Amino acid sequence: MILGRVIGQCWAARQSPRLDGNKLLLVRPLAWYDPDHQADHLVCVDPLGAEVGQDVVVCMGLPARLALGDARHPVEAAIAAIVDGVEVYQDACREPAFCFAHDRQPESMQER
Amino acid sequence: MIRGRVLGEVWATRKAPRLAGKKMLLVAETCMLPQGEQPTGRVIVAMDLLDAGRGDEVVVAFGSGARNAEVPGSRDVLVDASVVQIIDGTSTGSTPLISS
Amino acid sequence: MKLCRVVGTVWGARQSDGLNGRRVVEVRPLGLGGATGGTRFLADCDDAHLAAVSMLAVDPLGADTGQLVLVGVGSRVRDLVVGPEVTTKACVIAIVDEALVEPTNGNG
Repeated sequence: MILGRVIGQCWAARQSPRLDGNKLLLVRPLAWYDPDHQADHLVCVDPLGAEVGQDVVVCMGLPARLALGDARHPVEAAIAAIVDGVEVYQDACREPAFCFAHDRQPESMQER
Repeated sequence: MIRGRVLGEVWATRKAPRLAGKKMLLVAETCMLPQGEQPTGRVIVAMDLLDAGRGDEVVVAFGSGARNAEVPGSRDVLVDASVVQIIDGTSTGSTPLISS
Repeated sequence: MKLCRVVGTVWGARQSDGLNGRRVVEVRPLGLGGATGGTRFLADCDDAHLAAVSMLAVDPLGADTGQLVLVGVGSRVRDLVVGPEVTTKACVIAIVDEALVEPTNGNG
């Protein structure tokens, strides 16, 4: 799963019937892992009702399809949780490479 | 699987029902190079069933391996990364590099 | 499948049931970028041939540090090699004696 921020929404008039009724959100990853494609955004289905500006946890692959109820959806990323808080242990991230880029810090990040 | 270091925790009250009650950790991926343990710059959110804590080094599994940590053989688990081991030590050959 | 070299082992008592005491090795994939036709990879090959990343794999074969191994990634491989309940997608499936980049016209 990855941490990302909702930056917008997508609408489509013609789409797979299995996507009908689902909101498609544009998410910018705050910390990206293992990209098969180097794009700086993800389009995620949103079963939870996240809003633009919120930080979210996105899950990928089979679990993302399951987020809509069953595995038969043409989906590879789904919002799994809307983040209330992120707590980062100060002593565990002294090395700069462990830190978030300054423009990609989770909104509710607290250091402890 | 990857090796990682626990960076922090993520809290959420609004989440998919299948995630209820699960602890989510922020884990920084590291790798072992000749110059020692190096962060790769990737940070992921992993489900934690082992109660890993501050600064722990952990093994994180992805995909079906991560689902197996919760319910073996299940496809019906909303998790794509899980902590599957808390590292006590590592070695190269017979010489331990790190032990705690 | 990836050709890798074992660079260490990892252990820890607190582990998920699916791991069940299995040996976990840290491996670095071979980067074949610098290899020319006729390059021979053996155990303890030059560090320069290794990619600057490492990953972990479950090792049912007992490979030693320094050995070249073949690592299979995916749930199908995992199901066949170590069992469907194991919490990994990467397993050591062979200990490699030698790998050779075939010489071809032009770069041999």
